[in-house]
Amino acid sequence: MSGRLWIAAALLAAALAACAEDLTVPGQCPDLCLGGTPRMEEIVVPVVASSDTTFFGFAGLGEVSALLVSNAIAAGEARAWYQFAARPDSVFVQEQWMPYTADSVVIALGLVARDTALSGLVLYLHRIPYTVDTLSGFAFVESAMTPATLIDSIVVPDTLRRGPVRALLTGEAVARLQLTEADSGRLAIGVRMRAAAPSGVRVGSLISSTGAALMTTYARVAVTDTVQQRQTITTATLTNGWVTRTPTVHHPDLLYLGGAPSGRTVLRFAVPKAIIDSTSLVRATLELVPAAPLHGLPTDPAAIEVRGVTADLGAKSTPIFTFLQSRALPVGTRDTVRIEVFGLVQLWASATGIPQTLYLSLAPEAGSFHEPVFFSSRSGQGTPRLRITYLRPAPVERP
Amino acid sequence: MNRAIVLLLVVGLVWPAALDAQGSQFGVRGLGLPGLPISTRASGTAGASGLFDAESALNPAAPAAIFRPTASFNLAQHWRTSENIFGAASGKDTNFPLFFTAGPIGERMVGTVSASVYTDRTFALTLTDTVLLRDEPVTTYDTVRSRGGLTDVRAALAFQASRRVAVGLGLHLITGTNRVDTRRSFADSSYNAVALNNELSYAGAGVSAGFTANPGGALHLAGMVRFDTDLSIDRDTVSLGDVPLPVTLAAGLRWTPSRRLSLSSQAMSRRWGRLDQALRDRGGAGAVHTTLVAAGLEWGRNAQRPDQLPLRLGVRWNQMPFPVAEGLETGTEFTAALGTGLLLGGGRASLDLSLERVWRSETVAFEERGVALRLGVAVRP
Repeated sequence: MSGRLWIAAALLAAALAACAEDLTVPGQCPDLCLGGTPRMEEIVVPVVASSDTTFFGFAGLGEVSALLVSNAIAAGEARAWYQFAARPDSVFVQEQWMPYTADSVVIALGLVARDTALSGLVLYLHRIPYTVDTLSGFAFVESAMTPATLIDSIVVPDTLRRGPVRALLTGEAVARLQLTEADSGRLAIGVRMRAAAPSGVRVGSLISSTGAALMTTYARVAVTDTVQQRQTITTATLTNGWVTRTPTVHHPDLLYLGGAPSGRTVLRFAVPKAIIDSTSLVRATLELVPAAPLHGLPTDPAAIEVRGVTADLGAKSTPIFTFLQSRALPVGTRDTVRIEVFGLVQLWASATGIPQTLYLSLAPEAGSFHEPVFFSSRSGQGTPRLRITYLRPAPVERP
Repeated sequence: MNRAIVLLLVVGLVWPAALDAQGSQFGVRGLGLPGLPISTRASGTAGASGLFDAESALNPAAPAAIFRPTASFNLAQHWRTSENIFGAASGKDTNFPLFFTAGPIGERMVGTVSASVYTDRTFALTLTDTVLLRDEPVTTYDTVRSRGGLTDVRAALAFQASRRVAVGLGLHLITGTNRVDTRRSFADSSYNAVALNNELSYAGAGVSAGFTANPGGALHLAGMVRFDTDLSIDRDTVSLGDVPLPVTLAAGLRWTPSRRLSLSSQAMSRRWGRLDQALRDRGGAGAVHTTLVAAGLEWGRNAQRPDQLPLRLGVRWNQMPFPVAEGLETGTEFTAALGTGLLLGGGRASLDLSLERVWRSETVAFEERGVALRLGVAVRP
């Protein structure tokens, strides 16, 4: 009897002790607030005067992640070009160099992005002087893109959002890619486009994941061995680039992001210590006022990336890569761009020695139609600012 | 004392936070919801026998009836439903309202050490509001969670002055912490949730004196008086000053017409109103003096062994000292209890159970109904 009672008591005690706790009761301030209502406040902190600036030259034309091609869009008229490596005039067959006859040639491009809302996209490939390079301007490329230099056109299926497209030249069309000694066996092509409405595309570059243009020649050699009669010659892109009719002229009183060579902007703030140290931040928003309408390619957004820096060394500041806030850019508006930077501002509160500096860049950095321009503290309007909402500690003891 | 008693003593003294009482909405204000330092046995009579109960920490003279080293602890599980003008919610929690140890010192004196709930401020509130942020209304959700309260650690001596009279003197150390964590979140996810954590710590002292007497026949009397010093309050490392603590007066009557039946009653006055101005000065809703009255009985079903599974019944009515909201009348609490107990090992151990039904209200705006199931275990090696 007593043994069973002890066991029952122990089980009862264990059951009681194991019961979950649930204390919650509904309430409302000020009736049931311990210390009154916690006070929420807001402060607008402009960038430190004349400390905001843009540094250029981070990614050049040869380092872009995509090449731009456009047709009458507000972001600017652009043409892309590729310069292939020298294509040999003979192939090594049966232990000797032998001339060949090109039966067909395929030029393949990688489509990185397009306006998927538009149909009827056609890419035009022109033969342009092989002397084209990254110093060449829009006029040089555009003047070479005449009906006489047209190699072929590529009709891009409306369903294709991204991927390879190609032009196949056979028969007499192969002659358009005939290489002479004057060309040193090299070929350069320019790319322009047309669509149902003004639009643009981004095509692959040497450093993009889709790769740059590739030329494949299917040749025939006059030998008796039928296996070796057919040869394939692959020619890769040597250099590439894009040109625009309206290159950006940088004004020292404005802030820039992107472009080629690309720009990055540094903003420095002085948020009062009383806010950083003694309140609880609930929201921090960076506000940038565009100095010009935000242009870009619809459905192919670019984003402003904001990072903190471990040390403020101007253009050589080391970004904190583990904390990143970003905001996709709208197109065709001059509305203030707001980027939530709560995590970065809170970093200023929690880590000593972290400068109150924001480091802005564009993604993709130099291969985008977006090249936003913002007012600076020197512009006389639209100074970059932080809008910080915070909670003042409430007195908890209201006995 | 043997090792079991020492263990219980150590556990009781180093774990005062575990002495939390119930998480009631009536514990939000002032110093919280006052506790009654009674054993499970006394809670079976709704506290009516508390001044006579040797293993309660109410009357320092009552332990004079203890003739063996004794250690006991009490466990309580609470279920409650709280209603107020903002909604209703059900909750539950477990706590340990009383640790008690005692041992004879010589033939006529008993020393005791106990730890019990003085006041409790364990609760969690959910608050909803709308604030204007960046020119737009944003709904906020606050959760205010408070844990802890005041613990009353008592060391007392009870002296059997004569065959009919015992007197006792107790020294009290009032200590404890109150962790208040506030978390605010927003309906608009652009705003990040924040948490504010504060810890209040308390320190005070007191002295109590009491007696039990059997003037003759079946009638027993008991009484106690207690004076406490001012209570100092610190928030983290900042002193918030002192507030006075109440003087307590209690008197009890027990009539035992037979071995099987014992009728008890008790009245207590606690002068919480001494805190009124101090609390108002701090922005609080003030405090009022309180009165407690209780009546109960214990009936031994077995005439030969009245301590085996007796039936205990009782009711208690008391006022609560701290109005929930300023301007409201002070709240009241009504408790109906029943309980029983069992002696084991020839009286060297005992188990007690009690079940309390509690109704609390403050006007019609704040109401609470609850059930408390208590278990008391005592060993007397």
